[in-house]
Amino acid sequence: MSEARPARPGLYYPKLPATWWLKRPGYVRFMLREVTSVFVAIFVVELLVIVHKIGQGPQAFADMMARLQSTGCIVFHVVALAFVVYHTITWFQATGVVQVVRVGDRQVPPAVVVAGNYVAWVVVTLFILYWLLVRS
Amino acid sequence: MSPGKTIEPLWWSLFSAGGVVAAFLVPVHLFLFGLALPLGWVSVSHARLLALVGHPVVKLYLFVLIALPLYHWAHRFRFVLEDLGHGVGPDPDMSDQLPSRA
Repeated sequence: MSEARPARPGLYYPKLPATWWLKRPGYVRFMLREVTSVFVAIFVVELLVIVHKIGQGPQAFADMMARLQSTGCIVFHVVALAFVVYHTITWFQATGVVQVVRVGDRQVPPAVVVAGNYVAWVVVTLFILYWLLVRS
Repeated sequence: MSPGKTIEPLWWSLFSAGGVVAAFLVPVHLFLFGLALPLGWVSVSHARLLALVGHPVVKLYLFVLIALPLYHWAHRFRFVLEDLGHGVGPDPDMSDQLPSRA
């Protein structure tokens, strides 16, 4: 995987401009879906930093939260939230197609699998909010 | 490994597990720590957060919440780069199934 493979005759090497995905709305949605992973990665690294700041003490944590109040950070997090929710939506849609759930001999319709995912997502989200904000 | 068999399913299942974790858990954490706490919509004391992150189960939870989505990103972003023309040629797994004159 690491070394470059030499070109082999008889194989098709696609040559597309880097902007090929702008040609159709479906391609743009595909690329947006793939790019959601960048926002996911940036946020989990941020989360790691936040956990580190919590460990450093109340002042370090308060300073971190103060930095996150800046307009730039808020705008970034609004955009990032939109992207990660788009990841959730597209992931559940794909799950409905990929994951075949059977009850007895019958296949559960994909729409029901997708709906089940949304219900589970809401339950998990509310549980985490409850755990962190209400329970103490 | 016998011809035609690859380690690809392992990579794909890690990508998939990371995708599930990211789909279910990342939005609520991003909302809380990126918007709700900095903007003061909600408040959680530092003492409570410190107690939480010190708990063994929460440590395991954070490991899963952070590590698997990072793998998910690495796998997906690799193919973004390939799709934008930074690949290294045809997929070796696929090329074995194509007729070759070489």
